Amino acid sequence: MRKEKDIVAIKKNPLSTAFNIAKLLLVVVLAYFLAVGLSIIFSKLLMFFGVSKVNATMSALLLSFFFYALIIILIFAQKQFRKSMDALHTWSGLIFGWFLFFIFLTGSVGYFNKELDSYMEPKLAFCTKGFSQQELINIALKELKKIAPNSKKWQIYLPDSREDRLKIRYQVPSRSNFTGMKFNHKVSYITRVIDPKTGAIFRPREDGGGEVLYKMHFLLHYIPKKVGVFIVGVFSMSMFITLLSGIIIHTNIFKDYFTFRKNKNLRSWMDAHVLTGVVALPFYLMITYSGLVFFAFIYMPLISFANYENGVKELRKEALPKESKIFFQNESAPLTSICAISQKAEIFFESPVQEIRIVHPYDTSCIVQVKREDTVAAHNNMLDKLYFNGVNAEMLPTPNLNRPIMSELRKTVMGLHRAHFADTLLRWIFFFSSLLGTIMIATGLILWSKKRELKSRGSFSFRLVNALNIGTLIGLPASFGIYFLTNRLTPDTLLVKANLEINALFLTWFLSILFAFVRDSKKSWFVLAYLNGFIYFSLAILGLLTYNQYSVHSAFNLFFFFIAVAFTLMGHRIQKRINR
Amino acid sequence: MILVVLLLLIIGLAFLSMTLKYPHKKLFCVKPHTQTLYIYRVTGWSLLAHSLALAIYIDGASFGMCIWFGLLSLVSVCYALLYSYLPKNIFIRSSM
Repeated sequence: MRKEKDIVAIKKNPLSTAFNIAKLLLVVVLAYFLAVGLSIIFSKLLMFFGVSKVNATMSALLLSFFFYALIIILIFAQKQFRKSMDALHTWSGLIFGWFLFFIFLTGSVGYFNKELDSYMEPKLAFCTKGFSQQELINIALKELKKIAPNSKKWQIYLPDSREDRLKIRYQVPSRSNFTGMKFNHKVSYITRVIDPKTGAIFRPREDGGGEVLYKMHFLLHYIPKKVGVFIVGVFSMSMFITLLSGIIIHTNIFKDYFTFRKNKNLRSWMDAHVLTGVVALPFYLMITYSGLVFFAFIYMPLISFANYENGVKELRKEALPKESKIFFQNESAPLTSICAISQKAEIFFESPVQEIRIVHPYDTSCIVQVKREDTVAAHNNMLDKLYFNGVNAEMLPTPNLNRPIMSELRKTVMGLHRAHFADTLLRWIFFFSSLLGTIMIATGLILWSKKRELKSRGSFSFRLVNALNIGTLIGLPASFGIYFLTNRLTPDTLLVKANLEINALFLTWFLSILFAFVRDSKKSWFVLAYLNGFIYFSLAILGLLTYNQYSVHSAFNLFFFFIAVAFTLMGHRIQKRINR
Repeated sequence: MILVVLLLLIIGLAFLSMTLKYPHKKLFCVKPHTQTLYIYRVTGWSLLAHSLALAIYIDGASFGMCIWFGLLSLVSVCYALLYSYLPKNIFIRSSM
């Protein structure tokens, strides 16, 4: 009941609102510094007990997020512990919910980034079936020799279960590179796709496609990368806290594990929220925590200063040792048969080869690195790679990086998040689990407005929340559909194509929020649902019209058809309920 | 082989779900006997444990556990929806 009083007080005095928000922000920032202090003490304690400096600092870094969440929970805890946690869960869930929905949806789509890449470039869909691995390697090598004879590094990507194309990549010296994953590169890479039948080379898109959708998951868009990473960090921290407080509220996890009571309005929404929350709880905990761990060096830089003079840079160097550099000898030497090397590796791996990396081709220092298709461990281990001498095809010992144990742990957790190791089944499992998370966030947001529907229907804030709910929960899938639709309808020769697609996505999202705000909220639910159905139907039909043999495309068409049917049914149901 | 894991999970979760109040009420409409509940619980948990062990045996600890947890959540969602959309007391009706 205190909440209601607060709201009344806030309405009366706008200055007190600003004061309250400032107070809240101060508390959150103070909690951050408290967490940093605690982790530093923890690392010092570990060092006192004889743990090495790197491991102590890294474990403090990994645990600092737990400390932070714990401190926040303790700060917000009051006499009635469960009730105060309920408030924390509700309000942090509401404030961050829409962006978390965006992050979860882009993340779940991101598990299929390679497939989406090839879906969004139908022109480069060349069938590589009927060619043996050796033939493909020879074709790729021939092209590499022709177009990049002086390059220091060649890479050949053979078609695998996810991406059915033959790709080559070679290094060129450059100053800046905006498309790379890392923030600063001294060299850049050029990627080309080869049609194995004609041997023609094609230039794939350097931006756009599934890769952009995937990168929006952790970099956002329109803003500098570092700011994006920081904002996503704040959101994932809030997700972590919301999850933990949610567990505290809902103690009888096993009692109503299978309970979903339909057609009971508020009760059903609650059941759906709890069900989706409980069922994949380990996944959510893993994914939020590993998301934080990804940029742990950026989020918690202060911890490293306690043990290292130069801070993060020094810690990074010690915690993540790189492979020793191969020095260019500038003495020409013949290149051995790459086919023979790949055959050797295949026998050793007992699994097909996926990537071949040739460092310094036609030099005495040439080294060939071979990577297998299906990985054996969750973290990107050396177990998946083999090293060969590029002159005499001798197998070289795999370099022992001697990573500290805590960095290995961090790599494993990060690997679980990215799921590069996943085969088709596991990829779908990850996808569905994250979709469940999306549904959990959506039902939580709906629950908030459903609970307050009768009391505060006319108020501005309620209308705003409702509009954001509708515009995000239904408008965001629609804007993804528009993203694909723009891709299909605009000519490939357009230079600003990638930008246009992204702009269309965000414009649709914004417009659907605006639409929901202006129109009656109940009507906009089913109007937008029907719009979704229409968009995905037209995508499926467009896919049928431009039918090709590429299996990924027909899979996408089928999937879009199912989404369209689901949204249409949903719209119909809502409409029926409102008219009744 | 992974289908066997799925099958074990389905059967195990069926037993476990019947020990809970809501699904049991939905299925049988009579109050469960304590002894049957005990049997159901033991069978369900042991089947789940076996499926986890099998998954780890097939795919190794890291992958096996990933797959197991994923399948567990999917099957549970399916059961929850099934119990919700099932007509009431089907077992009683069919026996009569």
